[in-house]
Amino acid sequence: MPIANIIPGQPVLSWILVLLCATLVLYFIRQSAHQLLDNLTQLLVQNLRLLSKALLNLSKQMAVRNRDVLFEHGQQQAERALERQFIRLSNLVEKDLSRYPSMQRDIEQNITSMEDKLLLTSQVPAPLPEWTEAVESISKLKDTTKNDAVVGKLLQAIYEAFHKQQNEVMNVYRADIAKSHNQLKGAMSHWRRLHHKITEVGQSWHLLIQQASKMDHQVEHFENLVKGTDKAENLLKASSTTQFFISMIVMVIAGFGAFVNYNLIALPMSELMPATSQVAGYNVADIGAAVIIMLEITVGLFFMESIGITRLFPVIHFMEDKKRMIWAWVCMIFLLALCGVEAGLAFMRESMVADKALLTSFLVGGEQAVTQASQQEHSNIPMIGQMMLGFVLPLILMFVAIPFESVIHTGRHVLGNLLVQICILLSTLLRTLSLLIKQLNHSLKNVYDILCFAPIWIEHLIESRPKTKDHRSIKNTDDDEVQNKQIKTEPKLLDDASLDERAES
Amino acid sequence: MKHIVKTLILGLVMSTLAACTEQKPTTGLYLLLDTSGTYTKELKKAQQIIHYYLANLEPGDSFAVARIDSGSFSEKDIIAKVTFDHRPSRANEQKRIFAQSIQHFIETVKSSAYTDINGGLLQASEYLNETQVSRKIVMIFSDLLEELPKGFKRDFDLPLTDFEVVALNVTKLSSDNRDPKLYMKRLDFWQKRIELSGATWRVINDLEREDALVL
Repeated sequence: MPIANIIPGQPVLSWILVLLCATLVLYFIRQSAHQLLDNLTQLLVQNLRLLSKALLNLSKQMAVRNRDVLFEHGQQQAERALERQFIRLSNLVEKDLSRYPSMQRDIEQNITSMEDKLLLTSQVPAPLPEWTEAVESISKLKDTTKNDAVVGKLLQAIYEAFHKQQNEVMNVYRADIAKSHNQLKGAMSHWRRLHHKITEVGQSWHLLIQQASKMDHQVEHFENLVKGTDKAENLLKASSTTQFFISMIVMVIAGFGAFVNYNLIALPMSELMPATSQVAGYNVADIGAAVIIMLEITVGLFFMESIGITRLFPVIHFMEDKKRMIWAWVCMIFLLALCGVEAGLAFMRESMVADKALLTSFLVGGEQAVTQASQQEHSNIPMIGQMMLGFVLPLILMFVAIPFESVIHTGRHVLGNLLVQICILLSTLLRTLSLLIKQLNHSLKNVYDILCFAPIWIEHLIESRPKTKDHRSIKNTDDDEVQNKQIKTEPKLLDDASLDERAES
Repeated sequence: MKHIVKTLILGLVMSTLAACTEQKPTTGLYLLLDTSGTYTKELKKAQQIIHYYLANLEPGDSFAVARIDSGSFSEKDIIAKVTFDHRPSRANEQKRIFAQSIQHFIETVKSSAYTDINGGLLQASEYLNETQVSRKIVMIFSDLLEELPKGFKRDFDLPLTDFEVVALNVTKLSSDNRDPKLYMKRLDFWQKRIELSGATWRVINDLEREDALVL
């Protein structure tokens, strides 16, 4: 029955009656409706807050775990770096110390030679001239004219003798000095050699000091890691993220390399494996080609592990050195065998392509076209290029082990951090949602009150009328009852502490 | 005990792999060539079509070419048939031999007096069902005008469920030119007959359109 016909012929009245009844119904069930909305809101809000708290706790736990993993990895890296520094220092010391006895002997020899030379250059004082005694005798002669002539002759003779001896002495002296200079010149080379040796020793010491300072730095870094300082953590985080992205880029490049390799061997593999069989929608031949590439990467990984470049497999890493080297040789032989297989497949690919081209020529132009095509000169460069590529690519792919190790080690931390951030974001979103639901509840209650505003307004008018004392006391008791009732019925939201307990449980 | 467990695990892995291995979907193509009357002049075009499909069919696919003559429901009418080897090099060799057979046939073909299309279709369905291919295609290179010798009955239902039938180069006869309704009627008749037998029907008259010829 249409609402407009409740009172026949009076649609307006019918509508007013219906609205009045609806308003009254809404007013009478107002308390229950509000209660229902509150309960629903409480249910949703508390669950959302609980979930939010749980996510936040999870993110905290994950952050702690990430930190542990990060420090563990950092310590391992620092240990490796320290070990490397020690090995370098040991090599340096060993190298220098082995040279020291010979250097010492050399220096001593040089010093001895120099001493000898110095001894040779020591000067013997020239003998006193004999003519001094003659001059002394002349001075004792009496001063007479007879003696003047004799003295003059004697002096002349002495003068000549003096000049003669002077010249001789000067010559001898010059010869001695020249000899000494020559001796000293000979000592100069010893001196230079000595200087060179001492400079070498100085440089060695300088290198040692540098190495020691590097080691000090490493040790300090290691100590920071062991202490778990914030500085070390920040450094590790930055380093780890950078390494992760760099390794990822290298891995992507290697992926392209593997794709090229795959295309190189996929076609000829159809000659070796049934081209009509499939596994999960993929041709067996294509899967075979992919498996060969994966085997090459695996063998390369083992090789890198066995020569100590990566540390992914402790079993290989802790092998005896001799066994490890045997293992490395075995891996290298397998890898070279696979390279040979790939080169062969590349050759086969070129043959197949040529055969296909001949067939197409035959189908298009008949026997004549085939004859013409076969008479044309073909360059072998593409075939040689493909074969070389087939041989070299597996060896290049072997190096993917290094970025792979880096991705494995740093990826754990980077992905862990990402998960932590996602958890925090979800937690925040859930909190926001709970607040929105709360606000929505208030709004819905207000909308409800607007719908039945008339009875509420009347109620309000009655309530705000001046009251007698008795009435007031009765009203007070009524108010108390209502308040108590509200306290009893009003849903109580759990506080954060209890939510924490629930979330943890 | 350990050995038994290891053997069992190995067996399990191998059998799982074997179970996962499935046959690649293969295509079976049966081409019927009309050799009646003046239609033999069109066979050069048919040779090009054959070469096109030879170049495009893959290892594991089956291909047969048969002639439509007075009584086509016979193995003798199959000019060449092959299921390509799984090795591409061997398949290429088979394609060469196949093309040579077709070349020889076209050089030596003689016109037949009658045209038994239904017999050829029946032979095609038999052959393709035997090869157990995933996709069965029958191509009819003909003007679709059936003329049967006396005593031949072809009023049976064709077993062509899940087949694809393609009519190639359906030429217009001089009578069709006078009354095009005859041509339309002929095409309509074959379409209904083929579709009633459970196959799909398609007509390709422009053989230059490579996209229409793609399987």
